[in-house]
Amino acid sequence: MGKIIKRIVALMVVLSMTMAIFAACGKSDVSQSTNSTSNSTTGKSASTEKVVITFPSIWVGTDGKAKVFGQMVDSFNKENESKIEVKIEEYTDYDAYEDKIRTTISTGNAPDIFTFKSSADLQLYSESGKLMDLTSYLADKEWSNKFAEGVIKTAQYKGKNFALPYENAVIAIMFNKKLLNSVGVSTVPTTYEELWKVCDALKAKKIFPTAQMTNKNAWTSMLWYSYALAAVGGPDVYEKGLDDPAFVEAAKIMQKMFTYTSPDALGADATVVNGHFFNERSAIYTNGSWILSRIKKEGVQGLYDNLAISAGLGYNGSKPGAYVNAVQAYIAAAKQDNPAKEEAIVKFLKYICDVDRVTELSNSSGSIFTIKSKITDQTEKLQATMIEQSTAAPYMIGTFESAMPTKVVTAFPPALEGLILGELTPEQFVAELKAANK
Amino acid sequence: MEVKKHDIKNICIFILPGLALFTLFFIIPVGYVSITSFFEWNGITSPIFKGLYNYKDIFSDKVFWRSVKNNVLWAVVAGGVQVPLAMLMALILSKKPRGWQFFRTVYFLPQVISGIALAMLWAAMYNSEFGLINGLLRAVGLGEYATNWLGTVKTAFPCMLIYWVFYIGYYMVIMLADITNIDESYYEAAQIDGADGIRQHIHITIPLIKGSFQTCVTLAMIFGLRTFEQVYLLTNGGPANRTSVLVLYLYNQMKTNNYGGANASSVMLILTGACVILMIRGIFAKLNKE
Repeated sequence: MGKIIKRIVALMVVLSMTMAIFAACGKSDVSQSTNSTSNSTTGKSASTEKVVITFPSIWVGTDGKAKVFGQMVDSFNKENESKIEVKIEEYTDYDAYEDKIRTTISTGNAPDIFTFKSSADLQLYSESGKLMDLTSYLADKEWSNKFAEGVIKTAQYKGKNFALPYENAVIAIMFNKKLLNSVGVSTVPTTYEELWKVCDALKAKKIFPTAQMTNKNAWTSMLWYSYALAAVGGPDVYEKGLDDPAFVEAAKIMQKMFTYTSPDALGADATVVNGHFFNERSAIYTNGSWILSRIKKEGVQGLYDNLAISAGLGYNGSKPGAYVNAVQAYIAAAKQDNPAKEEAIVKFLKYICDVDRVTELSNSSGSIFTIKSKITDQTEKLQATMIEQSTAAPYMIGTFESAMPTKVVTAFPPALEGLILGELTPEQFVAELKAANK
Repeated sequence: MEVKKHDIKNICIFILPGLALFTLFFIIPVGYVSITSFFEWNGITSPIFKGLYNYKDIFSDKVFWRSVKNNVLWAVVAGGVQVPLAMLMALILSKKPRGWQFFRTVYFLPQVISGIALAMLWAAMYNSEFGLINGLLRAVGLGEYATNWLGTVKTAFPCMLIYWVFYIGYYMVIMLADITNIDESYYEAAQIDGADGIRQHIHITIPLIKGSFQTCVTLAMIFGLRTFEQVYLLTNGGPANRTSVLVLYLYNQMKTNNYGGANASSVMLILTGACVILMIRGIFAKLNKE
């Protein structure tokens, strides 16, 4: 009898433990489903309940667009009070953000609205079938006419728009005139040959001519490589592919460029590069227009006013003036089962494409958008110069990052390090990129 | 003790919840990773069966082999340097010298600080322009030795190992706890026989803490194989992939949407881990026999 009681007690303990474990799992599901109920509307109640749109965003924190974009979201929420609410989830690390977006799309839980920057991702996400098709909405001329000519088409996949091109990266070369003057240079170089002379003069005065980087995505060095490609290969350099000799020649320019950089360039990230330029330790820099607001805020006093903006340089007789650009941010939305939510998302997308709002966003951040924003009295002078120069440019090419497949882009930083360390010749550097793309 | 037939049923019942969880959270994911390692898969569209393609691909990649080599080196330094260092500190502190509680706390403190924070701290220390190390070298007139510690092929990997190898608090505390459990009478007897402190440690303490030492070596080597954040934050595998490790290698595969390749790398990581555990068990089994 005693044994039977013992067994029953043992069985009950085991069962209660098992149930407790599964109850814990179940509880988590319930809370998740509660969350999802509160985060979205479904079924019959859709027309009466508030539609909540989740938007994981990197335009937060110290990002130049954070303040005005945040205000834009707040005013949208206020205008649609009790009907629609856009909830911003803040991400300050872009790598982490990209990982989150990829993971959520692959698991079928794409955020309601999100951004991404590469054309490779545009293709991948469009293929997934998990994004909202915006093509029919963009047929509305009132909306599509707000975009720069032809830009909507560049964001199409098989004739359909699963994303909107939103932020446009216009990359310029920036010269610190004060530092150039200090070594007796009064005019900005327009060719690489002139640039090397300026670099020699700066180096002799112990000023870093440029600051390069190889860590993470080697961003600013990748931009220098893009400019070298524009100078050597011309407007259709990417169409010719990696077999084009321009890629090798541009690698030679990069080799030389790294002889004019700070000693911490190998392994440096954007913080290091920005630190050198913002503190006037380096004199020549390249980045997108969005950096202007940071230069103004974080740079040493007078840096912003001392900057000269320049287009690409000429090389071996090629004409200077080319510009590098790329869509810096596409905005996409998850496919929706609920028409009310889909409508709310489109309403929000239209709201943030308003010309006046985008102009304000552009003026406050220095960023340039695909929406035809106006140059106003509030437009920063350097930003206006970038817009004017890029509009007048004989041709534009994309950044190496935006034009190449993800595998090649990922292989670029270590290959660049090999090139700089002398372990790879320029030919082998390009061979490494090709091998990554196999 | 003989297990009676009717006890087997009870044992099974007690094992069941743990087994279910182990299956759910380990066997199934590992099985999933193993199966998908035979597919070409970008993580978003449908996978395509490719047989051994992913394995051939990573085996022909020199970065993969460099990552394996770095991981093995990392694990060896963990087991061969970090843990013995921890044991040495545990032996010293077990004698309760003046201020031993302070030093115990100081050595353990880094364990409660995030690895990310530590990596950022050391990235700043190693910075070639403003880092403390180069600053000190310049201050004492050794400026010619100042270098880009994390950007130079010869120094990058050793620099990462050097800072990390001194974080011994975790293993030190495990062994210290084991030492305090040793009966004092052994030491009293040894003292009567004329054994000094070092001999007492060699003949009493070390043999009696062999179990916890083995545990620490196993843990340290496994942690070494899983290394990711310090490499990612300090060098991101550079310069020229010289400091790449397996987890970073598979992370980069995932970043390029090559989930098949990433999963093949995961399988290799699991196999490397299993080999290391078997090797440690084999070595300690042999030592115990002797």
